[in-house]
Amino acid sequence: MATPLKLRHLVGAALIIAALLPSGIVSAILLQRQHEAVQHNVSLVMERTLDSMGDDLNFKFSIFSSNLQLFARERMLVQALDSFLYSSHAFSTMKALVGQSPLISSLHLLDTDLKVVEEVNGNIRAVEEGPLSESLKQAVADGAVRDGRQLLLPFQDSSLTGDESTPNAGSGIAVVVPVYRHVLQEGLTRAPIGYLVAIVPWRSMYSTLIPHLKEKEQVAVMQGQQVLAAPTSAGLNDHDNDHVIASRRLLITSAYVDTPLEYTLMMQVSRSARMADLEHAERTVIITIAIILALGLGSALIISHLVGQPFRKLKALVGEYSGGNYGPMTAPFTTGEFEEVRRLLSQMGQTIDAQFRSLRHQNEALETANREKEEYNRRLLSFNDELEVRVQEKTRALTESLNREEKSRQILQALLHLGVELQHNDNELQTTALGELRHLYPAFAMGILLTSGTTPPHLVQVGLDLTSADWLEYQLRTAAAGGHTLPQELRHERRLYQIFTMHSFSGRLCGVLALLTNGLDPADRDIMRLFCKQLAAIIEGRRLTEELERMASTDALTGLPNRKAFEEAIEVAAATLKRFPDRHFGLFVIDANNLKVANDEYGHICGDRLLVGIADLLRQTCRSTDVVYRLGGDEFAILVAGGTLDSCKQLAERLRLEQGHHAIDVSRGDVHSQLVMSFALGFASTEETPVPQLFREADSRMYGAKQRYYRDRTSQQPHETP
Amino acid sequence: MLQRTLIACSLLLGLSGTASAITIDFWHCHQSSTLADDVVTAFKKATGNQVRVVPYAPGEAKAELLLGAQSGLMPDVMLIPSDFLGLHQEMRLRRLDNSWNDPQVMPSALASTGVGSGQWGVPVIQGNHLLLFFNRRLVQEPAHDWDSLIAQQSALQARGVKLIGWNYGEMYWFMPFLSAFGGWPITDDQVTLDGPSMVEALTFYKSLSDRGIIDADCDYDCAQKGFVEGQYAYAINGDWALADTRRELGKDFGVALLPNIGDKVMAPMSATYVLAFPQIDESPEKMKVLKEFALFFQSVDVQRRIYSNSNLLPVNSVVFQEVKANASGDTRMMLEQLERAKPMPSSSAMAVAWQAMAKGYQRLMGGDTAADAAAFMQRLADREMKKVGTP
Repeated sequence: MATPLKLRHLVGAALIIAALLPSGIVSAILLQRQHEAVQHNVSLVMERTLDSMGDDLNFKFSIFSSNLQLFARERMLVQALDSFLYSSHAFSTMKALVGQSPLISSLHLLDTDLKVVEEVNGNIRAVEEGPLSESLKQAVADGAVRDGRQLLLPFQDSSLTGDESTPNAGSGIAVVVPVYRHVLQEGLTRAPIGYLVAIVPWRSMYSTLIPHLKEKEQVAVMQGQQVLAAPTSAGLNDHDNDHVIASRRLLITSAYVDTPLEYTLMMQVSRSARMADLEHAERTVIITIAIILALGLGSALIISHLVGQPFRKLKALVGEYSGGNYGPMTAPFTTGEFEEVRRLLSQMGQTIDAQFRSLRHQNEALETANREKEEYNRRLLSFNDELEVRVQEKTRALTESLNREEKSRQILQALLHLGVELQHNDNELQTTALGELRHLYPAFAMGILLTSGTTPPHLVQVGLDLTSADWLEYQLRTAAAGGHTLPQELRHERRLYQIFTMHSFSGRLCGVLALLTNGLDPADRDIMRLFCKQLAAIIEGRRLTEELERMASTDALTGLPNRKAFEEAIEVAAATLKRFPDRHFGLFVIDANNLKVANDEYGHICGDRLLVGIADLLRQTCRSTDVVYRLGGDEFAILVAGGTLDSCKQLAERLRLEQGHHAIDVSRGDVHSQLVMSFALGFASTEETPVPQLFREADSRMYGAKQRYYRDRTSQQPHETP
Repeated sequence: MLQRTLIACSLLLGLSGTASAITIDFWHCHQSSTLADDVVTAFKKATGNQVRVVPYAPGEAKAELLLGAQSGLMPDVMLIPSDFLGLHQEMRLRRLDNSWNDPQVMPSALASTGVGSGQWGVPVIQGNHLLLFFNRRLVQEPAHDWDSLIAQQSALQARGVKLIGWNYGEMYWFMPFLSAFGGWPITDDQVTLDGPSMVEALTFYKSLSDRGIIDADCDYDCAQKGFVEGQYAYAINGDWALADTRRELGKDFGVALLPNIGDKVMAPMSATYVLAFPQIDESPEKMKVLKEFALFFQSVDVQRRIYSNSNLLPVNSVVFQEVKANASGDTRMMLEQLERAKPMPSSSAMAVAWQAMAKGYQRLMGGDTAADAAAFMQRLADREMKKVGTP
């Protein structure tokens, strides 16, 4: 639905139109007249400026033309044309002329072949070979260069003007004057001996026009549509439309020129700049009109305001009531009709206001009760939330406690299992321990390196790549071998290894455990330490057991395996022969000679040294695969692996060769004496003798040999040597 | 020698005492600021005669003297380069005999005054050869060849200093370049300008301007002013400028041999400056004074004075030997460069060659090729030699 017109707006609009319309019409007429006057003035000024520029340029060109005409009669030009030895004088005077003539850029003296003899600031090649040379040759051939006259040749050649800044910078006029040998023969027919060619660039002529211009005025020299000189290469700069253009014919000539050159001077004036002179008067008119219009508008607005104010107040009052504000309008209207309406509306407002207040009190009581109820509910919900949080915390604590207990149980079980496995079985220690630990911590890569074994320490690992394993093994071996204190952590290529050491009861390092993990909580770290201690204890136990076993089967005096070891070895060899009948073995029984003599005459220490000496002799004489045993007293045995009868005979022969060549020192005080080591031996091979009779056969043969030894000895010299 | 000097001085004093004062006109075109005035002042003091001195710009002197000779306006005596003597006919110079020469004048200097069978001048100074000047404040070690010289340009430019300046458009400065490429303007008294050496030399010479090594528009005054004001690190200038430049730069001034072009040695021209006497009607008294002036100029004391005040090399053999024996530093370098220099021929062909080269150079700078410019020089010289006649 369209908004209805408001009475106060209609009244205001009528008042404004009545105030502004007549004034506006009168002002427009005045401004139109003013504008026409300015236009006329601009045209007049431009015509005058164009005339001034043209006249000034013509005047300057005429002066230059007269000077050039006089200069052409200089004697040194003739001398320079006659002989170049004189050309330096011509150069000096030509240079002076160029310096005094702002219109010309260069001056050339040409001979009759139109070759340059001397020049100032010129370009020889351009004059002799450029576009100008063609015009010049044609003019000379046509007789256009006449006595006492000057020929104007327009050209377009930037190499002549020496200016390549813009496309039209090469525009100019060449002024050609003939030079005669005899200057006093004017009027007679005579031939020139050379020519003066002055180069007048349009750039130079254009610069004489510029002083006539005022601000925001431009001028261009045109020939038809071609721009010869202008502020820009494209001509006048007419980017905006705020300008006026005027033109004038420009004739380049002088009293010595027969054929003038015609051009057009085109001038452009910024309209706003030209109007500056008349701006003051125009401004006064405009200000006056503006004041009249402002006064009219102000009066209309005031009257409109006075008329529209009661309507606006009543509308505001109704608006207030619509919004629920029923306060009375206190300010009375000056108009009676409007005052009655105001009173009536005020009474109605008071009645409605009292009813609304009563309703508001009841609503407030209800809202208070509702707020209390909501507060109680909120507290109840909050208590429930707290209770739930506490239950969750307790549950989590219990779960963690149970997990720790389970973990501890697993660890104890693993340690127990490890102990049982390693103590009762001969399992590989590192692999077993690593398996147990991996079972507990499946997420960790880890490795163990033991240092107390008989084999060189090596790393057994699980979960590491080969490069990391090699690096870790090198680090641990190096540190363990050098006795360095191992750090708790090792870092390699952004990987962090946790290091745990294992020490024996005596404090000796016996192993290292490395875990690839960025961190361990204190509980896990304690577990690892406990695991390492347990492993160290097991390693130590194993070592002690091995030592006891070794001691039980070793003869303490000679370090040879003892009878117990001999019997076990015989059983193993017999079992092997039983399974592999080709694997024969031999048995030597050896009895040391003179042990009793040594004990009786030199003491038991010498007797022991005799036994040790014989043990060493036997060990050195045997092959590495043969094993020497001390069976007790002065009795030894040798178990020969692969001992066929032939190989036994070869060993017996080697032993016989050693007889009598070794002795022990039994010197006493100053009396030096030695006791020769000798022994009786007998052997048997399973190749000829069954295993059960093997020892007896060998022993019997040894006994025979012993008998022979003592029998032979009684017939020999005493055994002592001085 | 002392006895001889005393006799000469007594003779001069005796002459001055008996004759009335005579005024002679003396024109010169030497670029030293002290030479002419120094000698003239001493002569006036010693003899009581008057001397009117008129200096001329070297570039215009030749034409001025030729025009003067044509119009009969010549001085009594003039100090000119020995190559002007080639135009003795055009300048209408007086033929001289041995009485004008001091007996101690060096034969090599005397030889430069002979054209044809006659003697046309009296030698008074020699050398006039070009040297490499450098500013010790800007250059630690002077360049020995053009490559190393050009290599210094960027560092000097960074300090706001230009590399080198000389009177680029004057052909006397071009001559060492021509000689480096094996060329010489006169061969068997004939002008020889269009050989391959000239083409190579012109090409190299112009390349220096094209590459911005040298400002082609900088003339003698510009180059000398720029050098003494520290705007140029190097300059090529003649021995005549040594004393003046040393006065300006003091300890910063250094002199070196002209730089080689690769392995080619630059040999400057050397010349004598001579007193020449135009054929004008002179009174016997004035002729006597003129001869006095010539002998005075060549005497041991004056020659010593010239060397002492103007650093110009004497033609008197006694003084020259003294200079040579005591030479050190810049003087030794000046003498060493003189030994490398080639004497300038004193013939009309040389005068023509200078002008022809100047015209050819104009064409080279105007865009002609080096070969065209060289051919133009030769063509011009041949044409002009026909006018001048044989030397």
